Amino acid sequence: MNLRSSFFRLLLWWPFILVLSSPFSGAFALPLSPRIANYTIDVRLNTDTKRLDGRQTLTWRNTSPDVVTELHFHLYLNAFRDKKSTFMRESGGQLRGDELDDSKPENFGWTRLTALSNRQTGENLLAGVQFIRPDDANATDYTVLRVPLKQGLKPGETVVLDMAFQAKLPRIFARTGFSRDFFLVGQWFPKIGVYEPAGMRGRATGGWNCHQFHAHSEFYADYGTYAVSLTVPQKMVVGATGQRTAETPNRDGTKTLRYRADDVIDFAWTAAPQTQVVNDVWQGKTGNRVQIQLLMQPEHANQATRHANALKAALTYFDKQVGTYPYPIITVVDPPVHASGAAGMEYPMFITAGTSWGLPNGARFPELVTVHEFGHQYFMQLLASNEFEEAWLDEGFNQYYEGRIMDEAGPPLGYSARNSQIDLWGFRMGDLETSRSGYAHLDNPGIGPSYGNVWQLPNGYYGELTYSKTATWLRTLEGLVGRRVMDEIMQTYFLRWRFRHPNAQSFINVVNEVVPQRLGQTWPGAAYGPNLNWFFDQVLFGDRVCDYKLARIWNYADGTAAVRVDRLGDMQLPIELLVRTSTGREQTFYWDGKAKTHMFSIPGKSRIVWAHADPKQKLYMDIDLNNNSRAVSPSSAPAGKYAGKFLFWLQNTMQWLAWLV
Amino acid sequence: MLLLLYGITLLLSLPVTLSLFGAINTETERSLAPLNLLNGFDYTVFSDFMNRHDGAIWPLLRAGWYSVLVYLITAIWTTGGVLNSFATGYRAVSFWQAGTYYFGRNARLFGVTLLFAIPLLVVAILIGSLLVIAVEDTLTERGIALIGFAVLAIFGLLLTLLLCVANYARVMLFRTDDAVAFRAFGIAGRFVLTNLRATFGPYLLIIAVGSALFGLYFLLEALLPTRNWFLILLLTLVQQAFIFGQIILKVWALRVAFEQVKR
Repeated sequence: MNLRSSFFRLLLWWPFILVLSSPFSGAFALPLSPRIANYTIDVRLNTDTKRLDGRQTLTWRNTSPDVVTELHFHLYLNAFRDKKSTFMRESGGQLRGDELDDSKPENFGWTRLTALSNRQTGENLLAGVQFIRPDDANATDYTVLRVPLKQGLKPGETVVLDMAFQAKLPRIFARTGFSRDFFLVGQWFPKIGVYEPAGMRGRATGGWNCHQFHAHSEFYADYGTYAVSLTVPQKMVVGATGQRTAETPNRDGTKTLRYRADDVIDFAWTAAPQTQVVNDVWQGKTGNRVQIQLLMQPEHANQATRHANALKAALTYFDKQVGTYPYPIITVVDPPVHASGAAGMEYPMFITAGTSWGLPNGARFPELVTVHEFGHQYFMQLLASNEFEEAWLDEGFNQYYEGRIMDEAGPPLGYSARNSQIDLWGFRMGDLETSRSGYAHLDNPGIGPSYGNVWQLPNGYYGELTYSKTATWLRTLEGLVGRRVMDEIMQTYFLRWRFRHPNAQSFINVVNEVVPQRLGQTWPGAAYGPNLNWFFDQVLFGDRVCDYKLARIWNYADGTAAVRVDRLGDMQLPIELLVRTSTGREQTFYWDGKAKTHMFSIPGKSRIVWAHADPKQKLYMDIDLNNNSRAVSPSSAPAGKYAGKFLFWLQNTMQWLAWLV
Repeated sequence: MLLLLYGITLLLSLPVTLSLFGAINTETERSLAPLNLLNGFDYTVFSDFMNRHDGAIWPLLRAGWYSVLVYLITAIWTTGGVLNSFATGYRAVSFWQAGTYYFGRNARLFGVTLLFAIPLLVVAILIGSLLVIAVEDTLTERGIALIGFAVLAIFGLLLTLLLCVANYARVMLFRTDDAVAFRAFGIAGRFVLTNLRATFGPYLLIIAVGSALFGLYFLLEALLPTRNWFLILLLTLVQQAFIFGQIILKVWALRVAFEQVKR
């Protein structure tokens, strides 16, 4: 074969190669995921009644070795049907500060299955369905539906179900619904649960994992393909998970938009007439290209660049530090302030941010929310952990990366770890330090572990334990093993578990594999054992508190010196001590951190000027970093600065009030 | 006299300030961490400190408020002395005597001022809230914010006018040796409204100068990083000069009113 004929052959094959190599090329796409639950949905939105009328075909494959005799479905919108659902009982009708006005019946929502049949057998399955409550005994919760199959589904077999449903959207206070003419439609279609065979995520026997909708829980679903047709009034600007493949105007004043999304775990969409669309593109260094679509409120349009820059910073950071974003598009919805309950939420290829008119650049909330919600593309979508049972695997990991990106992403954000969240009138707050503060400054930081079903975590501590504590202990792990090893852990975890359902043990196994390989027995943590189970027992499964204190410095008359470090908390972690002497020499010492107190005898004959336990703040979980250091002759200048400020503002207050007299 | 007024401010502020200085020094327990607060602000240091030592700090902040209340009473007393100094020139004894003599009526006038100022505040909040509720479904965020700003501006202007009237009422009480604060407030109100340009104009100008001084202060503060004791003391001097400037403005406003009434 000569070169010339090879070249022409390549030209002939080129379109086919392109089709096969692109992960989003419709039916020809090579699956990235197992594609267990595949949906074709046709839905019409009635903007007057706030109702959805839909038909869907679900193709579900039994990938387990079990014969599956029943299917379980989430009917999430039934959480809003009255005040008696588990969601409403747990939340009290409010979420993240937004409250449901329960005085108006039109503010509630529901979903109803009107037809259900097995396409292969023609059987009507609707008569046999029943609502079940796998998590509590709340007989008035209708968020999980059990569908018995007349014939069991053998391993490897596929069932095709034709379904029709109606739904009434609630007024937005908890992610989904309507607010005036703005619609954010999430958790809206009957969605099959996850069938977990024995051994998966530590299960002893196979069974459905399909929890009721809880106040703080988010979701858990299998990967699949979505072909969705949305019929909405023509004036509506629409955004959705995936890529738009067609748009057809209808004679009745509506239009039908078709979307396609492959290898995702959910599908959400928005429709609103007052929306300004801003398009941009992110181009990765490895050639990856992602289309950015911003659906901005017109009066927030001048903040579109802020959102786009944040998104590009996050894409660049994740691409380099964790792994490639495999989808061709990411859509960011900027909800209006009156629909703030829909802000800050994540769906595959589709996130909601949140800002307000006139927000100064120093208040970096749009950037922060955009970075955070984009991060969920990795820790919710690509690593589809169970957010009912292990929310920390998504929210906590994402919070940790939000901190890293905001604090150190560089251009186009360029903030520092001291001002990445707020930099206004001299007040500065970094992102990761805010997470730490959320955990370390709890009344009782030992209130509970990060691990556990979210509805069973200590009441009122979901955010602190799931987001803040996890981000803080991940930063502590990074401090102990080093950034390079930490990045390798995260990359290995990502590559190994993407498009699957990892659990705690999945991550721990990766840590226990990478750390001994890279650090061997030479790092301080090796004194605790051959793996890092001791670490996870304390920070993830346990409720121990870390607090080391540099208690005292002795400079003896004979020229020798000593330092005492106390362990005030019950958490035990290896710790470094840095000592500076009057000659300017600095020495580092190590302690396994196990005993209640430890005396360091400083060799040589020189006076200690100061000593600092954990000087690099590796033990970021330490609830008081101020008591980690001690100087023999401390400067009183900081006290002078704040006393001066206090004096000034006190006198100012006096003078302002003096205008009254 | 200006130095006396400044001295009173400083004297009432210093004890609690020095206590705070001592408390911060003690509570930081010789830590190196507060050094991070010198050049800028460090949220971790600040929040860790407040989390563990707020019990030592909040009582002092409360004591600061009590000092402000004491100053308010002292300011009622010094007003009589200041007005007397305009008429007869400053003498310590007459300042003291006039302050004591006019204290009761100035205190009542303060009450009358509050009697108007508090309802004005309540009405402003009420009108602002009702307006926002009425238009929130139709107006944009910017529109709602503008309504808020407009209500705030109108409230600010009316409050300034109220304070201007109270300023003239103080002079009326002094010049007519009247003891009825309400009557003096009424007379002053009519006087200010009939001579709006000559009375409210200068008053607004003084307020504007005060606001400009504030802007200047923030600029200077940004230019002066408090890295060490020398720079801290330098900033403290700037701060005290600014406070002294505010006292001058307050006395100036009273002097303008005094001269206007005299004319």
